[in-house]
Parts: sequence; C-alpha cells; structure tokens
Amino acid sequence: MKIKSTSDLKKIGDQARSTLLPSEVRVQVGTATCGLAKGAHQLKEALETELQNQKLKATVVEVGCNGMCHREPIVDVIQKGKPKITYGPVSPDQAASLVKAIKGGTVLQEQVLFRTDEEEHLVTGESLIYSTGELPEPLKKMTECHSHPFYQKQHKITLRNAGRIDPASIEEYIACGGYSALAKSLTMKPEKVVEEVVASGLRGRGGAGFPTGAKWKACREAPGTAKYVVANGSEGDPDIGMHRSMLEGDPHSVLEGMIIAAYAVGASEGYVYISNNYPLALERVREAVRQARDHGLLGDNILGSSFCFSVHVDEGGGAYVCGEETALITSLEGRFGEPRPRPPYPAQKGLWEQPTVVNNIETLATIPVIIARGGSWFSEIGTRGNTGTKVISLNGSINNPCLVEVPLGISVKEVIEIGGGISTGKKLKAFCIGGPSGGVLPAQSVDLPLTYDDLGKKGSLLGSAITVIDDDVNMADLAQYFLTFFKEETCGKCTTCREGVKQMCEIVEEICQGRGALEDLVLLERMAQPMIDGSLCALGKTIPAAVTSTISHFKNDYTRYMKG
Amino acid sequence: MITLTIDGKKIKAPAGRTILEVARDNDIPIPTLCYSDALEPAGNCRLCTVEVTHGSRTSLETSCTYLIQEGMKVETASERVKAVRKLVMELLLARCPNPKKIREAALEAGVEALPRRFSLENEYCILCGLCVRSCAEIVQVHAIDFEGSGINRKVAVPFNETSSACIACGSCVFVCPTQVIKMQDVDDAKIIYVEGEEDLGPQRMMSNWKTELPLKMCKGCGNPLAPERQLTLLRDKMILPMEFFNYCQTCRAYPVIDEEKCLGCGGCSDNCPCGALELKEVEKEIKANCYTINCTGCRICIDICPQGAIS
Repeated sequence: MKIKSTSDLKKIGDQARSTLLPSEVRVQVGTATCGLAKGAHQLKEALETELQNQKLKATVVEVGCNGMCHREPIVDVIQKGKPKITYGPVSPDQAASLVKAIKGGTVLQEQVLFRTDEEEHLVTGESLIYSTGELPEPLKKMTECHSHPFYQKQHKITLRNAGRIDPASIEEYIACGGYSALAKSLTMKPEKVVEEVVASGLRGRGGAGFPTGAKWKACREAPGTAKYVVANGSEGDPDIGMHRSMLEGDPHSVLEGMIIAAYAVGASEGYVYISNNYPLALERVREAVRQARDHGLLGDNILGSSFCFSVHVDEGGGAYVCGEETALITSLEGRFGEPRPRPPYPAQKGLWEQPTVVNNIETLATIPVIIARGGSWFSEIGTRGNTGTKVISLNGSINNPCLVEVPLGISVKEVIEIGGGISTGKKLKAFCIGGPSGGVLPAQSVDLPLTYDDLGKKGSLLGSAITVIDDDVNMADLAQYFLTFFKEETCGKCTTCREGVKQMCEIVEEICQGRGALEDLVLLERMAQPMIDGSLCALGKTIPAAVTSTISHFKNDYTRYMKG
Repeated sequence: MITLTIDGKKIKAPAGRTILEVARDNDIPIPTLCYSDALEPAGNCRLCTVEVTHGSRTSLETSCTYLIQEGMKVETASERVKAVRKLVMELLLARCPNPKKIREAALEAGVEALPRRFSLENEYCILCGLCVRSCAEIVQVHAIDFEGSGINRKVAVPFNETSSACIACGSCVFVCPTQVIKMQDVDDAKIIYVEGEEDLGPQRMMSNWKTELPLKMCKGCGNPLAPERQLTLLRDKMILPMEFFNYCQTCRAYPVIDEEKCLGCGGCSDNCPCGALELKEVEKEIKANCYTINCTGCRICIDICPQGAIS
C-alpha cells in the first residue's frame, strides 16, 4: 500500500503496534550476525518446532542485536500484560523447557538476563507498556532493564530499535514512530531542516567529527545539476561490526535519515555503500529499500509531496580506504577506490562531479530523532561541542564483548565497565579507540572523556570501537600488527603512505625479531611527521600514530626486544 | 585575479590555477616527478608538497593539485616541507636506487645516504603514473593502468596479456622519468611455435606491455614507417584518406605546380582530401599552392587538373 499522507502512516503504525504487543505470545530471536554465529538460526527452528509440539500459539520473530553480543543467542518473550523477559544465551536444547515455561506462565530462571516493564519510542515519546498490574514475586526480584548495569549508562538513540523490531518489517518500524520524522520534515522548508541539524550540534560519526549541519548547508548552497546523498556503511577496521549490527538491526532508520538528508540538501538520488563482506546487512538494506519504495516512501512524490528521491544499494569490495569519503565516491563511480585531493570537497564536487553529502550511517540514523525531537533536545545530550551519543563496539581483553551506545563525554573507564570491565585476572595496559588509525592510549588515560576534542588532543580519534589491551600484550607486536594491516590496506597512490608503511613495517618487524637498535626508534619517529604531512588522505595520515603512540607510551616494549 | 603570497613574494594570478603553475610562472622552483604540464595533475609522488596557510589553518598540500585562493600564504621550502621532500626521496631511492633521475632528485632533496635500516629494492618504476595518464588523456587509448593495490601496485596492461589497445606510439616511453619503459623496432621478429619459428617480419616491441605490432612499410623505400594499428587510429581520428600513410616522409611525392599553366580554377584545392592545396595570389593572379606538410602524395590533384599544370 502506498502511503500518501500522515494519516496513512498513522494507520499502518496503529495496526503494526498490535504485532509488537500481540494478544498471543511473541518470541523474538536475535538473528544479527553475532547471534547467527552462536546458532540463533538453529535456536529459532527449535523454538518453532517446540511451539508446534506443545501447541502454543505464538509468533517467532527475528530481530537485530540488542548489544549484548556476548550473551547471544538472545530470546525475548513478550506476553500480554507481563513484562518482556530477555533470556540469553539460550541453546537449541533449551527450547523445549523455554516453551514449557512460557506455557506454564513461569520463567527459565537460569537463562534470564532482565525484564522490561516498558519501552519508550524515542521518536514519538510514547511508551510501549508491557507490564500491567502487580508483578508476581519471582519477576519482581528480577533486574529491570533500565537498572541493569549494561543499560544503566547507555543512551540509545541510533540503536533505538535494534533488537526490538523485526528489521525486515517496515510496519514495525513505523509502529515505533518510523517515517514520522520524514513526514514532519516534508512540512518544513528544507533550509529549516538543515538549521535543525545545525542546532543539534551533530558531528559526523565517521571519526573526523565534521559538523553534519555545515556539510549539508555547503551541499545545499553548492551549484549543480543533480545532488546526491551517500550513506557510508563501509567499515574496514579489524574486529568491528558496528555498522553491520546497525544495518542488520534497523535498516529503515538509516534510510529515513537519508531521505530527510536528501530533502534538506535537494538531492534526487542516493546510494548506500556497504562492503560485500556484510551479506546479511546488504540483504536487509535491499529489502528495506524495496519496502520503502512499495510504500511510496521512496520514488516520486513522497508522502504526497512534490519531493522525489530514489536509493541504490552499492556493494563495495571491503577496502579500508573506501571508508574515506573521496575514495568511496571514486569506488561508487566504478573505479579503483582511491582518494582524491580536497578541495574541491564532495559537498561542492562529489559523485559524478556533483554536490554530494557523504554521511556515516550512524550519523544518518540519528537524523530522524533530531527532526522529531528538535535540535535543541539533541544538543542537551553529551557535552558542549560534542553532542549526542556514540555507538561503540567493545572488544579485546574484555569480559563481555558487546555493542553499546553512550552519551558523549562519558569516560572511557565507564564504557569499559559497561562491558564488564577488563578480562578477569588481567591488568589494563592500554586501549585503542577508533581502530588502528587512532593509535593506542595508555591505561592512565582511561578517565579521558569520550569526545572528539579530548581524544583529538591525545592524537587519537573517536572511532567505532574501544579495544581493551591487557598487560600480556607487547605493544611493539601490536604496532607490527597494525602496520601489517595498513600495508595491506594502503591504496598505493601516495609515495609517503605506500613506501612509508612498507619500510616502517619492516623496521618494526626487525625490532620484534630481536634485530633492532635504539636508532631505529629515532628513525621511526623522524618518519612520522613527514608521512602525516605528505599523505593525501586520512589513512596515510593516521598510520604513524600506530608507531608513535606505542613508542611514546611503551618504549620498554621495544627495547625489551633489543640486545644489550 | 587572486592575490597570494609565495615565499614572502606577493603575487597576482588568475583564478583556477594551481600553486605549482603560479610558482613556476614566477620563477619559484618546486621539484616534481609525477607532473607534466600536458596532463592532469595527480598528486602521486608528493614531492611538490608545500605549506599552505589560509586564515588560521595551516596544512601541507601538493602544489600540483591545490588551486590558489585569495589571501593564502605558501611556503615552498619550510622545514616541514623539506622534511616531506626528503622522506619522499629517501623512500623512492630505496625503491629505485638506480635511475639517474631519482638519484639526482634525491641529492637535490638533501638525501646523502639512505637510512641504514631501509630495505632496498631494485625497481625502476616510481609509480608516478605519467605513462598511464598520457595514454589515457593524450593518446586516449587507455592501454595501460595501475594494477593491484597498495604495495603491490604496478603499471600493466589488462590481465597482463597482449594489449589490444596499445598502438605502440611511445608516449609512455617519452614521459617516463626513469626510462623503464622500453620500445624497440625489430627488423625480423620471430615467434617460436611448437613446429618451429615463424617469421613475423618487422615489428615494434613494447616489452613492458607485452605488445608486438607489425610495422607498415613505406611503398617507396620499403623502410618501416610505424605500426599499422597506430596509423589506422590516426587516420580514423583525423579523417585522413586511406593512402595517407602509404609513403614515408622522405618518399612522399609532392605536387609541383607549373604556375605558367595554372588558371587558378580551384579544382585541385576543392578536391584535395587533406586540405594541402589552397589558392593564393601571385603577382595579382590566382594560383594553386601546395602546403607539403599536409600532403599525403595521393596524386588526386594531378588527375584533376584540366591544364596538366600539376606534376
């Protein structure tokens, strides 16, 4: 059905709300890649079989990741009038007892993570109330979601729907207030939409932190025959799956953000760029685009307005450098993903030489909330100049590797604590923020607030992951690992980056094999600044950080390998 | 006009020009390796890096790609700039220790000896991309391109197989700063088949691009002229008659016009396929005149002249 007006949108939302809170039982299984890796698919099949065997009427729904990747496969059980119970991990053999418990109105005590009494729909401000009336004794003792240590310090804006709705259902997204921000934008003047984003203080979530509103404004004002919006879903850092999880869990939020961006800057076409090593994310986004098109939210005369916009989904080859916006554009144009000199900036001359907005998908997923709740509401979250929240993938030597969303300004220490702290029995030595490009920071910096400015001052950047490093790790080895990664990922255009990383990598390798000398460290440090100055894009400019940050904080780790 | 400062010198230049162009116009030297004023700048070698201050922001940029802006200050030899140039040349020298041009540029950048720890290679290509760009932009046949990514990057023909696009014109040979691209004309190229050798006759060999092209012979002297494929492309592009390249420059027969017999009727100039014949005024009379540089020696004019004035 084509949605032509706000009332059509409301109708679909009202209908779908009953699927979110149905009269019969709703069982949600987390089937993002993290869940699938732990057997969510088998679990889902087992649950379906058991439900049939025990003759319990229930719907089993696939949802995205709620962030607790370490507890996958996760199952939510929703029964009318009762709080939502979240279990994890649940193995397929436990399916029978779980179904039995649901049928009997009890809970599977050992597997319970927490209960949820009500959930707020961020966009509408309305709440989905699960639990009505007095709670029975065993449920009362159970931790409530909002006071669970995992959620207490989190603030979910971008991940508002992940793990709650079926990502393959546009109706459920609409039921959570989806596309209402788009409808609201279309009643505003495009300039006003840009102003709202400027007021929010939102900065690009790709790492550089360029103000999104300023980017939109530049693109809106740039002359061009056509304009484009590109969603950057490229993610090449090792061990990070943040974009993947977002796209798998709630693809429509990115799409809605894109459509609003297109309306604001005056674009008629958009591209979602995702690397081909995220097959499930690609599938979900393609499905979302198809649904949006079928519902008249993409295409001509969106929501009955005169605004037209279409979206293409483009597969990248998975190159790290293609996360850099100009390289991404080159790759979209069908050529070898290689950065271009700036200026001209993409907002002036981007895809096919036309004004183009390239936004990270996390940035785009935030947009609908900003429009719905207002820029000033958003600017209250976080700290001055660093507003909003950031999705962080926690990994490395940590008890609970997970995906969290925290307000900016929170300390690194607090974020690590959300993930259950450093692996039991280990001592924190250092941490990495922003993948290999951000270098490492020593344990003393753990109180550093998570903001673009504070991290920038320390030579790091606000990336999508915090990798916790314990004292078993020799930092020279880590530097070598990073350099090997860069050696494979440099595009090869600039002499300083291509040849520089080759030489740096070999020098560090020699050191790690006990053939180094102190003068090598002097040479590495001398190479750093000219490499930063001489390279075109952020990839070449951030390579030396892997070496300089490890040398300056952990020189002993290098000298340990040297004789005498 | 835009006003900017380069090395403390106030300069006015038209908008749309690069720092490098403006600096060179004003006799301020900036070293380059991957730049040619006939090609689009690429910013590959990074040797032309300069320090640019615009407002409160200072950054290092490649002068070949950076357009001048009002009020900008450019330093072409600051300490940071010198450090970049030195590192660029150290890295290139470690990659290509032999080519003369690289050794000279390294000396100029202040590289006396390579850091002891640098591992040396014996490459000849510095991946400046001049060959790739000249093939694409000037010759427009796109026979070669970069292949592989990162440290495995090299210039090659597609799939490393004999090129169907290369016309063996030698533009790449001409622009290559390290002279690593080889072109050779061979009188009696032979190809070895299982049964034995096959004589291919005179060929032009582009060993880097795995391409051997048969040479066309001059109808007059029988000497090799140029690869047939190259001549065909030129003929098609410039809409020249089929006979245009039958003779070499020395063997071409140019029409001699007997001005006594010529009536200035214009039959020859109207029918000359190359526009080599025009009418001009000689002592107040109109006479035919041949610009031999355009003439292909096709002999059409001789047949056409009603007076038999052309021989």
